[in-house]
Amino acid sequence: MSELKKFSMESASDKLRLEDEKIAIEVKDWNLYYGTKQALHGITMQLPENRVTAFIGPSGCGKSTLLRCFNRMNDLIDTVSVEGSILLHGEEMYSKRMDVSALRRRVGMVFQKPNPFPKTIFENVCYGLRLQGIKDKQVLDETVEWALRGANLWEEVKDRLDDNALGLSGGQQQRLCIARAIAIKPEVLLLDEPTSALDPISTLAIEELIFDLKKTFTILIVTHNMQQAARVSDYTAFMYMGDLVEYTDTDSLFTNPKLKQTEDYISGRYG
Amino acid sequence: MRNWFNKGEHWIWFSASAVSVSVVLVFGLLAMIAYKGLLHFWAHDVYVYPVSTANGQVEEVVGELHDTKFKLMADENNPKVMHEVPEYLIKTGNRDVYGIDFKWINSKNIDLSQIKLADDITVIERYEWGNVYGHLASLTLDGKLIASGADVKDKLQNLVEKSNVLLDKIHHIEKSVMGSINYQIEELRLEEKKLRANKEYHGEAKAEVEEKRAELSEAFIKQQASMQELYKQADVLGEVVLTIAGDQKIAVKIRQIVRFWQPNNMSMLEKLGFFFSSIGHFLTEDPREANTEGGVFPAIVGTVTMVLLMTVLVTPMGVLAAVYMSEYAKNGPVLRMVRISINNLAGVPSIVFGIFGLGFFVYILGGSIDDLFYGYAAPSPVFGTPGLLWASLTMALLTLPVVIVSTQEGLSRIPRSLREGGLALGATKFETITRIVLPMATPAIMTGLILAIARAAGEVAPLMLVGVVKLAPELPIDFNAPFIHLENKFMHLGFHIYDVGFQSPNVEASQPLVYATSLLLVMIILSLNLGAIMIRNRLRERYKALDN
Repeated sequence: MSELKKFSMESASDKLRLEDEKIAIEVKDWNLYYGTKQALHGITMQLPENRVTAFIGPSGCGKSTLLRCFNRMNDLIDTVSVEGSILLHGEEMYSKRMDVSALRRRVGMVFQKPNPFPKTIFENVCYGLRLQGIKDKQVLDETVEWALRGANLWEEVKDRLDDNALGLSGGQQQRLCIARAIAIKPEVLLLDEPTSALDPISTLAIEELIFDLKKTFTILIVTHNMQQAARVSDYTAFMYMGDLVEYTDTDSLFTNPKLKQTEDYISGRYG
Repeated sequence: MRNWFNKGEHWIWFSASAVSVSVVLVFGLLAMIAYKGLLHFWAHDVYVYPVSTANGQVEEVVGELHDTKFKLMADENNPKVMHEVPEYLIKTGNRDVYGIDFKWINSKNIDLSQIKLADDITVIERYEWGNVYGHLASLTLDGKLIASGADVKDKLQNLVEKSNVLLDKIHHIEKSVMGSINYQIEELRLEEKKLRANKEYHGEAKAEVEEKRAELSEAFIKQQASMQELYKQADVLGEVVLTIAGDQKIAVKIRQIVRFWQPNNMSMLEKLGFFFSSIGHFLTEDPREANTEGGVFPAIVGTVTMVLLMTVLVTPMGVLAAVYMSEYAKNGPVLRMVRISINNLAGVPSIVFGIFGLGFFVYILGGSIDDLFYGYAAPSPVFGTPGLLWASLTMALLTLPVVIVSTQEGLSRIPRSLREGGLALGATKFETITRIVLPMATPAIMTGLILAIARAAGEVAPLMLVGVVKLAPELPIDFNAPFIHLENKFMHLGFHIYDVGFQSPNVEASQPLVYATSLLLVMIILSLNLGAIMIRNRLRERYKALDN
């Protein structure tokens, strides 16, 4: 909670305002359907660069679905159809010319459950680099160390990089997945409930990590945990039933929600 | 009691007894095969059976007790009462004298107390005509006596060793050296035919072929001469003369002797030594005497080669099909139909696959290959005849459903999160499948292969149509390039069992051999499977944490 306090003090003197930010991703009138069922209703929002934006809302509100739109992960589901536009630094993500693999290299993702590959720790981290055809041992070594340091894991695993990644603890595995995602130096990092499968200590480690990572990356995080959203994010979006209900800086949303629906949710009256 | 039923205890007992019945059956089967088969290699004691003949005389029958059967016979005093009277099957050997190897004796005709061990009896295993049972009398050469009495045995031992060295040399020349020369001559003949067919057989090419041929024939003649020389050396080793029952004499040429032993004078340790050396002979030698004697080496090589080749053929086919079906194909009625067809393919009788293999692979595919590439060899077919390649392909088809189904199961067990993890790092679908999904599915693929090997190694019926023959001393693998001869016919242990057990002229003699061969076949399947299981376990170890 100390961070929250520090953070509140900081924002009191220097209040964050979306209008002042550089925009990384721009969503315009975005609709998504699972078959005939509409899951996202005309979402329009701007996501600022080098900030942490949190998506909160009750289960099934579409926050994970929206997050997966930002690296076109929903393409994998046959029945999904979309309309509207999402711009990444002004470039249309869903245009026909867009190379999906290249897009996913620019927008990294960490999943709810840690999903390291059954390979060594080293190979896990440099998997994305190897995909790009990088073979230079020195480059790989340096990037792996950089990514593991970035994910706050280096000290714990530096002596056993050749061990199987599945031997790590859950929290370590999740940080490994973050290291794996940042090793390819994406512009945006998507975190889909990254701590929901972890214990409190690992959760704290990852929250501290997010705080550090936002200097380098634009971070979008989906979370069920409102305290977590309040602790780590600069901006928060509250979603409900596929609609974006309220989206503003975290401080205002939690202390002074404009809509009654938001207030009910954050005060725990439903959801 | 009621409580006992309510708890479902009786179901536990039922299932436990089902398991124990299966276990008992499996081990009972193995134990029976092992016992009957291994007896074949033991140096049995030889007895003398005094048999009273119809005219009141007593005839001595010398041999090993092979089998006992009970025959229903009427009591002498009261014809209404039937007794079970044991009859003994005695292996007497000396086929050249008696005409047959075996003799049935009714126990009524012998005084059981008079059966005794035959003193100093010698058993000689010959390359032809089976065993000789008799007493060593003398050694002769061209009618002249070399040795007699007590030192015959040592001298004979010496001579047999010498003869075996010579025979090994002859065998080497015959098989390896002359075999290789023959192979080259055959290649040359085909090349000449090819040149003639292209109307290029003149001038330099012709001269070259003729020169080569002259070289080869010269080498062939030289080898033949040295072989003749060795045969002569083996001939002058002489003969051994044995006395058999009724004071008859049998002369056996030394070079005809595989080995000899005196079972009644052997200690337990010597018998054990004999037992293991017999197994060694069985595993490493070619069959003799219409497969009823000698070893099964070509059949072992044939079986293992066929199974391994089948594995090499079925793996890519099955894995690719499974990957397409579970990763790329759209779910729908067509895919469902294909799935059902594949599952039904596993239930098609194997002989049907044999017919298909013969009709499609051998005649159509093999015939076309011959037409296209081996036209000059006509009318003798190269690939248009049953052979190793077609047998392996047929077996690959037969086992394809197993591999497809287990690979699909393996693929479907790989969590979605891992695929997404790969894709989220910018991998294409193809890269995700080849780098993450397939390596993780290898244990499941191995399971499919284990089942496939077990099925293919035990199958006989389709093989008879597409490449297995009774006798093919030429191995499908040898030292002549290209080392593996896909067009060759080969021997197979399963077919060998059928052939020895049911097609041989001497069924009684070959019965233990049938069991021994069955045991060997089971062992080979078991060791192939164990190999595959070990690989699978190592792979599983690597991916173990995923299972939880």
